[in-house]
Amino acid sequence: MLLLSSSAQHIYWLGRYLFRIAYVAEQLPFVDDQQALKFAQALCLHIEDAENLNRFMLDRQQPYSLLSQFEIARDNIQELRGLLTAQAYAELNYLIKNTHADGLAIQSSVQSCCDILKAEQEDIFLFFHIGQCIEQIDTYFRFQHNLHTVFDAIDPTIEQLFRLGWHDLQPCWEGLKDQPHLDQFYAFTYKLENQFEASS
Amino acid sequence: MSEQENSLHISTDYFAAEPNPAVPVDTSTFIPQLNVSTNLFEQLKSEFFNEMLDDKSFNGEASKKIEQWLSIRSLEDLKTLEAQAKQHFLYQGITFNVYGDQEGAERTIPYDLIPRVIEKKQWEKIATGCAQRVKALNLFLDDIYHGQHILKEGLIPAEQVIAHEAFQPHMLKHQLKGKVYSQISGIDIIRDGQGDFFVLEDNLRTPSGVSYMLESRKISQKLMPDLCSSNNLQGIEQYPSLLRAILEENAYVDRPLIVVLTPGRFNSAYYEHSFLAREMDVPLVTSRDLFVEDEKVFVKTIRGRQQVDVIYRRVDDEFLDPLSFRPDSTLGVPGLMSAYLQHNVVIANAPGTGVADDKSIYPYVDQMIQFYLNEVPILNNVPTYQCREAEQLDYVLTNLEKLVVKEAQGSGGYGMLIGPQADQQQIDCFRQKLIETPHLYIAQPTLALSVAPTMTTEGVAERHIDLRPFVLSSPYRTEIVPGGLTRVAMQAGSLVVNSSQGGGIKDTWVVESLRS
Repeated sequence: MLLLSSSAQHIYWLGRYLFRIAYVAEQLPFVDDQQALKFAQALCLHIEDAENLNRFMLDRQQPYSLLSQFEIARDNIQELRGLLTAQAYAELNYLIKNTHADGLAIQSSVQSCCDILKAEQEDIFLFFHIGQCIEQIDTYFRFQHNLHTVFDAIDPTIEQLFRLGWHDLQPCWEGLKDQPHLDQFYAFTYKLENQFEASS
Repeated sequence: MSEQENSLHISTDYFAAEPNPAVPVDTSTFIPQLNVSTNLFEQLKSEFFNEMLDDKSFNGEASKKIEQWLSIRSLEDLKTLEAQAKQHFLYQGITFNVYGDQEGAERTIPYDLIPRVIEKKQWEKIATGCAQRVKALNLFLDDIYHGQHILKEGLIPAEQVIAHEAFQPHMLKHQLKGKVYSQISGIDIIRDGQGDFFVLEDNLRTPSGVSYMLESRKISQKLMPDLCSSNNLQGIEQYPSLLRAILEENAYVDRPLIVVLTPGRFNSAYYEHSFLAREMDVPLVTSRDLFVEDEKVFVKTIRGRQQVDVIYRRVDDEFLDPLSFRPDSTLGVPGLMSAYLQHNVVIANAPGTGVADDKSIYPYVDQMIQFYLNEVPILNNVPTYQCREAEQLDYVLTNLEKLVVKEAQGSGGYGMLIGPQADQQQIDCFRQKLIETPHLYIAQPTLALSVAPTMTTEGVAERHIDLRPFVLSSPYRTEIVPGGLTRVAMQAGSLVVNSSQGGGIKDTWVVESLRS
């Protein structure tokens, strides 16, 4: 199979969105206002209480709600239509279109989407997994979790990119691991995005 | 005629002699548990040529089997099957958007359960006629971009070709392998009141609809497995592999890398583009994936660049290369034409092909067949009045109420006047257009188009249909899968089959002989 760089990029972003959606959906519903405020701040949202944050996340009209992000994930799936098997496309499309505005339902749909993508070809799953890993790092930065355990777990996946010839990424990746700061993270993701556009 | 993909790819439009509604349908008569001997289809007899009843070449066996199958099912059963078909199309994402619709509104194409049947001998005539036509059209294209003998002979007015907006000066003197310009052609065919076949138009630019042909067969087999297997249907499932083989044969290298070039997911035919790429197992690309270097085309992959040998493009000429055509095009690839003219890549169909499928060129196809092949045309054209000719324009203006007037480069069933169905205001409006810009229009007599039994919400009724077989051409062969896309005007009395205007599809069965 010939995997286009642009397709890899759509798969990568699909992985990022689905990880992000699942992570937030797991927290729903918020019951504690302080906890909700802290969570909202980590996502740069100006929401100060649990009730509003719960409502926001399940509101299709809000561009940063879970359901809107699900729609963006669906856009990526549309872009991959020539690549995915007909069955995988149909199932993914159906799952996202028919997900109810409910935290548990969203988690369940994301899990099903991940299972479908795992069954696709190896390269497709590689970039999907990389997207999930990168979003995990992003999330850990936002919520100030311990990143070192994540790096250890992700390292073998990122190394698969080097084996594809994406050696330019290596210094940035090593830099991020040595100095796990946001600027290093952005330098790495910027480099990664550039690889998707590279013509050589 | 060019195909306007952004109005859902199917461009034929036609009309009957009179604005007659379909035969009134009496629900109680037609469906609920009819006795097999009742002869369901016989009750649909009308002044139109009915494909199931009136075809003399037909032994009636297929028709009887379909009748029998329908008759032992209630209307509710059949509606349930149709609902399943719609659900299948929705689930598989076989939907389209019509420009002007509310954003995001997904439509499924109406699928009619009752297949259209063509007897094999009859099909052979259609297939041979289409192949003959496409061969002549390819030779015409080669001629107008080289010696221009047909123009010099005066068989076709030179200014009509050279000044045509689809004529591409870039293609002058450019040699194509096997002189094949149109690798994929769709020929729209109708039958008149006597059952004679006529070509209504040729589609040589980016003819589409083949995915509907294949999907309608799949769903027929799913919903009516017994009926399908009891008839000796000619297979069509080989189309994607055949298309791939044909594209490979047009390449300049062995084992070419083929890609399908799409304008992107917002194009209404995106489903078909992705379908064909997936079924051929080749990448579906947009302009963003391709680039040209040293007059070679490359695609960006995760393992580096790869040279592209064949581009099955679903992008119109004018958008293909901003350096050669429209400079504001973001759908094309800068430098693509330079690579093409160096024979470093094949573009299918070739740029400049559209000049041969214009409605104003269509009347000359018979002469092309005689001129290039020295053969008698197997399929007839519908008589056509060229409004650019003063005498013919006079006739058209005098007889507008009886004629159909079309834009020479229009498609999708838009921009046309169906005289017998038009009101005075519409006729006056077209009269003015014809007087101001006669060269942009052609006119044709109305035809009593054939009908086929079709499921409606009330029961079985007759509806007008057409047929688009897909012709595949390489330097070594011409292939047509048996059948094609049958489009059906789903509204009673409607003569427009375009999906963008409510038209539906039927599975097309080419049958050799029918077993009991």
